[in-house]
Order: sequence, then C-alpha cells, then structure tokens
Amino acid sequence: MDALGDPTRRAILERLATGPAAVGRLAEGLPISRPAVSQHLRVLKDAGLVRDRQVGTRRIYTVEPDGVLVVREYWDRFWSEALNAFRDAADQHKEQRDEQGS
Amino acid sequence: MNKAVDSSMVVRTSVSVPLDREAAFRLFTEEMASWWPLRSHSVYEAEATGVVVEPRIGGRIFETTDDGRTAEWGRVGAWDPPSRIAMSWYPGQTAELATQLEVLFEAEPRGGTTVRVVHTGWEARGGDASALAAGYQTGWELVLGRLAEAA
Repeated sequence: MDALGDPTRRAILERLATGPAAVGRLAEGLPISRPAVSQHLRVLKDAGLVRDRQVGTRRIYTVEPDGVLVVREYWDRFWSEALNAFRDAADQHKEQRDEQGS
Repeated sequence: MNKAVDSSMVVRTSVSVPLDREAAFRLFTEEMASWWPLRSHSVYEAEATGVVVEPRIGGRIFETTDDGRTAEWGRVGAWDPPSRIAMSWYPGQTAELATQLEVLFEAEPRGGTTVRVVHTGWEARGGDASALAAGYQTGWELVLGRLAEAA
C-alpha cells in the first residue's frame, strides 16, 4: 500500500485516470523534476496501478483499472468525511432549535 | 479513450439530516465554514479558516486564510435553493481541470433531508490540450494527501 502513501503519486494517478500521458507531460504539471516523476511512476507500475508502453521515442503511461479505483476511493472518502461533518453540524443545529423552541 | 475509466468514475455519497430542505440548504451553503472539515479538506490545511459560497450562478466557492489568501475550489453552475446546487470543482487546480459536482437536497417523509453528492467529469479532462498545458498545481496533492493522513 506504500504506492498510495504519497500525495504526488496520487496526483499522477489522478492525471492518468483522465487519459494516457508521457513522463514529460506529467512532469509539466507537477512541482517536481522529471526523474522524480519517473521514480513515482516506477512505484505505481510495480504496484500494478499503471502500465507503460513504448511509442517511438516516448514511453506512454496508462492507468490500470485498479488505479482508477484508487482515485475513486479517495473521493468516496473525501465526500463521506465532508458529509459526516455536515450531519454532525445539522444534528447540533437541530438540538439548538429544539431547545429554543421548548 | 479509456471507456473503463469513464464508466466507473462516478462518486456518489449521501447523508440524512434532521433538518428540512430549507434549513439544510442554508447550513450547507451560508454556514459552510461552520461544518466543513477545513483542516483536512482544504488547500491551505491548518491555515484555512473560512469557506465562502457565493449564492448565484457563476458565483465562486473559495477558502480563505486569516492573512488574506484565498484558494478557489469551483464555480456555481446551477443554484436552485432548496433542492440543488451544481458546480465545477477544482480545489488547488485551475478551472481547465475541473470535475463536476452536484449537491441534491431531497425531502424525507418524516421531515428530514437526504443530501446527495454526485461527483463526475474526470474523463472530460483527458486529452484536452489546454488542460494539459494549464497543468496541475500543488494544492491538489495537498487536498488528497491530508485526506489520506486523516483517515
């Protein structure tokens, strides 16, 4: 699970979930060097989350279905946590109202 | 295009609250700063102190810090109180990389409200030259990173 323990790797995965890309393209959008991006891609590839293929002189990376699931799980959790916080606030709101009303 | 990606990337979450739709809608939008988990779900993390939803089509959703910085999260595309808000969603990124968010408020028979979030639109960004040129910014990783640590 270490493959997912890094925010930059998740950013790369999110980007690849939207379409295949070469290392250069991925590096353009990230605040890290191209070799660093390559290193992250290697970890993601070893974890079975992305795959690569050689196209001419470039290596193109594509997300594996598991990689898509990872992105999805992050957002599932993000919204679950946000809505749980909303429910807590709504419960409090309701209690205050009931107290004022009685 | 990768069809497998397209079809699987819809994130749906819902919660039931003991408020009517009007009250739920108001709490969600007008008082968002009072409940949104800013520390874990923001670009500036611990420094983020406020979040504002401008209540109109084209309005911005953004977080604020005490020293005056702001980070835009999205733009309102549909504003239909008390039943629905739709917005583009790009915290820490540029609008070119937006995904789409819809928040629905549904009345329950016993007076409560079901609030549903439907998050879509990742595929729309794929292969878009202008989006790729715009690139990612650092805030995005922060949002997801904080989230992972908090979990």
